[in-house]
Amino acid sequence: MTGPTPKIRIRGLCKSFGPKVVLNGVDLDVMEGTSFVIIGGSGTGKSVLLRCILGLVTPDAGTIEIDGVDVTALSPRHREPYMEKIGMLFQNAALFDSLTVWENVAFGLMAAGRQHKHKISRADAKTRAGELLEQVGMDPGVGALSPAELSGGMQKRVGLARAIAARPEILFFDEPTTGLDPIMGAVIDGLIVDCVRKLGSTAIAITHDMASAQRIGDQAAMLYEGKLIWQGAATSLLASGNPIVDQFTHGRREGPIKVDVRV
Amino acid sequence: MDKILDFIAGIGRTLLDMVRMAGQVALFGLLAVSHLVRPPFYWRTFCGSLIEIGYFSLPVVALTALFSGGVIALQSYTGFAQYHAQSAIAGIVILAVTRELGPVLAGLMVAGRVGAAMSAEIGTMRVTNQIDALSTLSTNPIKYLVTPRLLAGTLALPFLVIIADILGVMGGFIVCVMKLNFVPQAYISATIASFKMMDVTVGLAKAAIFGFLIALMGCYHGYHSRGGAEGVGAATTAAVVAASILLLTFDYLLTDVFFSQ
Repeated sequence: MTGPTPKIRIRGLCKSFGPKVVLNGVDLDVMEGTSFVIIGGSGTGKSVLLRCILGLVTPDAGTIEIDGVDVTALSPRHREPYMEKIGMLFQNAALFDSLTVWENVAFGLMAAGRQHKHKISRADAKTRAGELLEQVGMDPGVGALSPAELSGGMQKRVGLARAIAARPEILFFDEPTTGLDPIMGAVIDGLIVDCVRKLGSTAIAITHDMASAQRIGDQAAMLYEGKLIWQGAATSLLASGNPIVDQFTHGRREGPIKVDVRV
Repeated sequence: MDKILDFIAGIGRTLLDMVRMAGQVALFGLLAVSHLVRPPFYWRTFCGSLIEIGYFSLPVVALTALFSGGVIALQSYTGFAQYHAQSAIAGIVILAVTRELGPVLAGLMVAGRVGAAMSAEIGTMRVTNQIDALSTLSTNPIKYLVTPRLLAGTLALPFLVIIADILGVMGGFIVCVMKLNFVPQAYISATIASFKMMDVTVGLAKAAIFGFLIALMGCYHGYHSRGGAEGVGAATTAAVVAASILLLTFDYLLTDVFFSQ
């Protein structure tokens, strides 16, 4: 008897850039409704892993299944319906400079390329953007501003509102608290948890902020030298029993992870 | 001997890189053009680009054309006066402006202004993940960013060249009448007599091709920029240089096709 199909199943995922091996056979199952956190040092391939799932980077080998379908084997056109299930909060929020805040939030709702969900009018999109801004704790009046007029924390909130606008089944968060003060980081984490819970989405967050990882995640894994070397409950991150994970989560200089400090 | 071989190998590598890049640019352009006939079309981006290229480039193109027409008139006068051929100046001005100066100067001005701006804007979007964000929002980045700009460039430059042609001729007229004491009616008659619809039409065809090339270079280099602010700067420079060189190359080729006989 087989168990339920994971929302996302990755097998043997490999990706190299020239001689640098970034992902070296990553296996991962993320069950529906789970918040999964991937930790790892800078440059260990966490973002590349997310980009492979999103189809922004083509893996060298391996499979990525979403709802049981290997999306790496699909043409871009056939892949599109699966990509429409995913919302993404980028590390720097990646808001469109040339658009106002509300246009950023509602961009996905007005996207003419949407195949499987109904495109809505600009007037309706503006109203919906106001509701989404309220949902992430912002005044709808902010919608008329340009992204450049917002602080880093506010930009992250707008990015979160944009990511959840189309009610995606899967949400990705790329280092959601990087560059924010601890209080704002906690606020963003709280909003992420609320949004994921309300939507019932499956979430994958990548971070090297341990407090954030424990706040957001149900499950956690550590990516090291191109592989997931540990997986367990997010609450056990600080006491994993794995020397590599322990060195990383406690920020110790001494341990199995050797940091090359030469420039 | 080794140094000579290294030198030849270097030339070979450079040529191969150029061929590879030409192929990449051609594929990029074809892909963007193919989106013209595959809905949706992003009218808002198109209209924004049309205004940016066609309207906001007007002052710089107008001033360039006005002064260039004046310079042609002055230079022609200093040469032609020796042979008492001043009556040919009006014909020289309109021929030079409609065939060459209008399209080429307008193209170079737009390449410097709009090609650089396009490359910087799209390049910044690339290095700040905004292009990736478009993909995650069910939007094809080439369809959204490149196709409307290519069409806008192709349509806006002929409009600018019409203005440049008119102002270039006017520049020649002003210099000849105000400074060189030509009779206005005689100058206008000579200009009308020398006017050829073919010259203007070919000039506008050149302008459309130049507009496409400028937008293509701006979009291509911006879209493929890497490495933060430095990468965006390099892409912007490359876009302007490549557009200018391509523009002059195509100017020669088109002139050879239309006017060599």
